[in-house]
Amino acid sequence: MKYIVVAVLLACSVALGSAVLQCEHKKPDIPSDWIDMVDPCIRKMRGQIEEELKAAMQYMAMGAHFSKDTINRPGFAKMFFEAASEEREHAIKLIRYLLMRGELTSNVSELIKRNLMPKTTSWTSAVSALKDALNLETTVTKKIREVIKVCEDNPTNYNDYHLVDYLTGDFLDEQYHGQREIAGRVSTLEKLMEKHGALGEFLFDKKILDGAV
Amino acid sequence: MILIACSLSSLAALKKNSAKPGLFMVSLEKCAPIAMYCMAALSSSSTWALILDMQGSTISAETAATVQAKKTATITDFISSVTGNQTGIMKAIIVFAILCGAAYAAEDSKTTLCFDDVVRGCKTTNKMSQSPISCSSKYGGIDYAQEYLQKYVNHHFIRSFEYLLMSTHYANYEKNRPGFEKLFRGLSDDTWKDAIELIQYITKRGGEMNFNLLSEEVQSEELNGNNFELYELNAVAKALDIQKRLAVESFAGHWEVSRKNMKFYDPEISYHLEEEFMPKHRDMIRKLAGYTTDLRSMLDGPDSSLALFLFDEYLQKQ
Repeated sequence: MKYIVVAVLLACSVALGSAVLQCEHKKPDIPSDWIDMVDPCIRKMRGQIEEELKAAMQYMAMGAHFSKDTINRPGFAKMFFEAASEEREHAIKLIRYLLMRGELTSNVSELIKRNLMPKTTSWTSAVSALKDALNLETTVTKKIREVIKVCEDNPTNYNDYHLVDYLTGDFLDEQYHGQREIAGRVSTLEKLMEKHGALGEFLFDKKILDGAV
Repeated sequence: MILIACSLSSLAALKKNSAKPGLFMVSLEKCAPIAMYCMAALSSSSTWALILDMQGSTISAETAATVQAKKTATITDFISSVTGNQTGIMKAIIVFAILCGAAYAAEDSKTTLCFDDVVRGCKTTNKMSQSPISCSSKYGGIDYAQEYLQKYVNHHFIRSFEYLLMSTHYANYEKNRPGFEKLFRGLSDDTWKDAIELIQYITKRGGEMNFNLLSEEVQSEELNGNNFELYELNAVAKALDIQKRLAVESFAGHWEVSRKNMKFYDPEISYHLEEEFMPKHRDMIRKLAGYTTDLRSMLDGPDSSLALFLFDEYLQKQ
């Protein structure tokens, strides 16, 4: 009789024990030798993610400005909204690279600041906005170069070959091509505006919409 | 004096509205009735003085001066408090001019027609440097609802980045859950796209975007700090709470432009919120709630690790 009671009590305790939800689990024990990025480089890369997202919000402000009915340049608006999403994709690419290298296992919550607000939200003309876009791209390019410098040898004395190659081959390549495209557009538009003002901007806007420029 | 009255009222109108050239023309034309009102004021104040004089003459000579002094004293006290040291008639003119100007300035600018502004603009030699405000695409309750819509856009941006952080956490080598990564990345992409479309909607209604505004509820979250590196069930629960907050905020906007607020009724904005946000939110909330149910039941047992692995595989296929 006693044994039956004890057995029943044991069964109950087991049942009660497994009634607790196992929401958490043990952290797996993984060797960490393969994680070879150095601290200054990691910090610079994390900073660059936020820089890309800040650029995305600045492009968003440009898109919002040119969508207004009093400005009415749907071509420029479309171009800037697409550029905003493109910058966000760059940020995601950087995140994916860090994840591939075994980073971002801690302090993920501080990776992106809560309220990234654009600096400028209105422009007097489409040319001035395009010039601002070109300056924005130039700033981002300079910042990528700084990441490369830090991850190459200064001040770490540890050359992260793969990362530097990735940034140079992928990111800088896209930056330089993008800058050339915007510079060409600024040139064409400014020359159009010289004699034809609003008509020039109007035509250029429609050409952007069609993808002809 | 009439010129002063007209200039005062036109200044009041200019201060209210930003489209200066068009409205200056309007104010000059509208000054004709105001000038008539001012002339009536002028004539009435002179009859006023006559009445005072007449009343003074019926009473005996000794008290006539005192009675007149009293009456003029009370009236002049009131007017001098408004106008300062001026002659009696000038004071009356100025008071009426201010009243005319105030009445005109209080007039809603939307009552002017784009056609009238354009016709006026074509007649003058001054270039119409800016589109008159009547020719914007504003109608209905957009001015009233604009601030709410701007806050809603910024709310979406914040959530988009939060979901991105949650997705990042599940993509690291320690968590290694591509299914959960895909779930949160999808939520991030959706909120990003919704934010862009809402900006385009605000501008379609004639408004503009302000990236600085946030609703109080979202702002107050910053005080508690935020952790996005969560375990699976906790993360899905957090995503569910975030989605509910987004959904409920769309209801607040719907209320803003409904008849209940007594100021504006704008069914187009309500329709847009109903079409673009409410079904999407409803379906995602149902999906996330279903996931929490499944996870709760599966984590209640010895196979929790295997359950999470299989659930993650299931999420990869969604």
